[in-house]
Amino acid sequence: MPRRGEYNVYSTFQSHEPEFDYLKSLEIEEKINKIRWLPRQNAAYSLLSTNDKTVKLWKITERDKRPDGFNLKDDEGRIKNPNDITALRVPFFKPTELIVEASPRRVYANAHTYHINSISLNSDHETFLSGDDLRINLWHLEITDRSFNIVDIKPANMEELTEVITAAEFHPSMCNVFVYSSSKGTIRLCDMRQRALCDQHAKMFEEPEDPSNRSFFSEIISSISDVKFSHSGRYLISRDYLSVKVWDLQMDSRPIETYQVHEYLRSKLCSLYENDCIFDKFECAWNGTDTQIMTGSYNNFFRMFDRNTKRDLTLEASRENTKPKCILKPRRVCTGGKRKKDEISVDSLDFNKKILHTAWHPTENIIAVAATNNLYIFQDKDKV
Amino acid sequence: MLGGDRRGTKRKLTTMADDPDDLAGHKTLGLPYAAERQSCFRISLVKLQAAQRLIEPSLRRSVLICNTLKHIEDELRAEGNLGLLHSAYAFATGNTPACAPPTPIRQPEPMPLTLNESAAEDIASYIEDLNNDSVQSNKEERRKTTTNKLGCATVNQSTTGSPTETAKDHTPSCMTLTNTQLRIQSTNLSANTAPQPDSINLDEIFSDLDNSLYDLDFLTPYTANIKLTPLSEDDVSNSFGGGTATFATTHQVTTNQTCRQNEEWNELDHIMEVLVGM
Repeated sequence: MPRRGEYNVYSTFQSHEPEFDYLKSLEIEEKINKIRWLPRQNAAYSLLSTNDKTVKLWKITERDKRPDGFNLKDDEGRIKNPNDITALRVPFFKPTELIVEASPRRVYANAHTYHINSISLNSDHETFLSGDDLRINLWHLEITDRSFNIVDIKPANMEELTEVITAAEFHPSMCNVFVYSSSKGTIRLCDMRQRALCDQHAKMFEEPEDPSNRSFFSEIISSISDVKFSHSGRYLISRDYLSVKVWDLQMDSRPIETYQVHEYLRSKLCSLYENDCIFDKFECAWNGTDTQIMTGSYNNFFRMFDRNTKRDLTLEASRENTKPKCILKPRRVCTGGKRKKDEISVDSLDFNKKILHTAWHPTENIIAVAATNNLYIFQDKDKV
Repeated sequence: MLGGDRRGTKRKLTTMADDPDDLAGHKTLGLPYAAERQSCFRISLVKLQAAQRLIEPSLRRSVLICNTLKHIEDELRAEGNLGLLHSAYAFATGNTPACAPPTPIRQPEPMPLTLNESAAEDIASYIEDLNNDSVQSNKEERRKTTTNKLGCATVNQSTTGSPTETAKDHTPSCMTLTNTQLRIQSTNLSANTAPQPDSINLDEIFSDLDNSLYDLDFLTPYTANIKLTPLSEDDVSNSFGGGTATFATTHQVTTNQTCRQNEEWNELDHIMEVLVGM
């Protein structure tokens, strides 16, 4: 693990290509919506990646040696004349420069009418789910021509549609349990043992609306953009437009903790609706010990919340402070009154610089933050 | 302006003045609640219409916008503010280019478009209420109300989409809206022009014909004064094929036209030549 603070690209490969659906006369974008790692079983890395319609299983392998010293071939690979061979030798592996190869192992296609927004590997490491706006399907990693539909919220009459699925995830240890979130701010927990089609939820997590905060945009900002189980499996976090909420699986009436990501935007909702920013989907992440939560915001800011100390931190992912080993300076947004030095006012925030994707290393204090077309990797200053 | 000046503008202390209209307890634009609601309504309609023009609009986005619209509608209905609703729709649809290029017929699934049909039906029913109200009141008032309420809509009439597009099953809601809107404009405008003693009453002659199946785009220069509804395919072809006199006579009798109509007539002639292949 490099400790210098600088990273090189390990591998780049094209996962999906644009496709054309002739039946519906529309192009299916190659844009990747989600990536999920599989646990390593050997030297190779495996991951699932998905665009709007197709999930693929990729295997990434390293090659740093190649066989050499053949009897029937010479060093350039040309076939030798058998009459010229006077002695036998044992071929050996010669070290070469590292070559990283990605090969598609499985393609799980033609199971989604709507746009896939989630994939999640099951704890049994044999099955995974893929979820689109209205349906969730269960796959076996080895079987690509069949999937089982486990959730279907499509109404008989599409005119009655008022709610879509926004995210879905399997429980980290209970292989029969998964959750899915909706555009209305609800999280449903389902048990696959109950019945094959999990339209009925076992639990529904929803916080009653605060009447003092009611506006035309209440529903839009309650739409959950991401949901993640804690590593322990005891809690889950949900990200809506303005906050991150921690839920105890044992209590579905309300969250046990709520963290405001950028409450200063509440008075700007109309403008954010107009410029479509209100529809941005932010991800959230737990740290390895489930004590910290991270999520992105605008102006290349990302936020971290410590559940124990209740302290929060705003940091910026930008080129100005990306020298290796440079310690990030906490940022502050001025929400009213006189703006202090080093504070940024809400009106100065750049809403085109949004951090939608963040990830936390499962065991180390290393985070990855995606800011538009740059990937930043930060680590705990004590680790250097 | 959000995200505008990166250098950091000096902020002045903003105060939230008490406002009796501010039911939500806070304002997001510094406007009274009702004005903000109107603004939000208008933005939502524009967004929906823009989304409909895409080949594959985001379902989540469409659902959220639709629900916001419905919420505002419900609020207005509960307050008994239907008049506001009508003007909001008329204003919104009048301002937006209702004419969109014909969209390809899509397979039934996915149908993010039909989802909006209920909203469109609501819209259509409100506008039809408006229409019914107009029909029942006397002509004088009708003329007045139509000028006021559809003033902006009339201006855009020449740009409204052809009724042909709206007749298809899988039409986006904005198209449905256009058709209804068009019918009302036609009805009310014919009310304006009908009381001319020596004019041929097209309404009576062609009242049983449905214009929705025919592409009458090329007639738009004349629609300001002639009701679109009555002209059937036969009538149109007869008008042009059997001599220009028929159509021109009808046209001249029912309108007070300037020499502009001659130019348009020539243009129409040219179009017909192209169509007929002469």
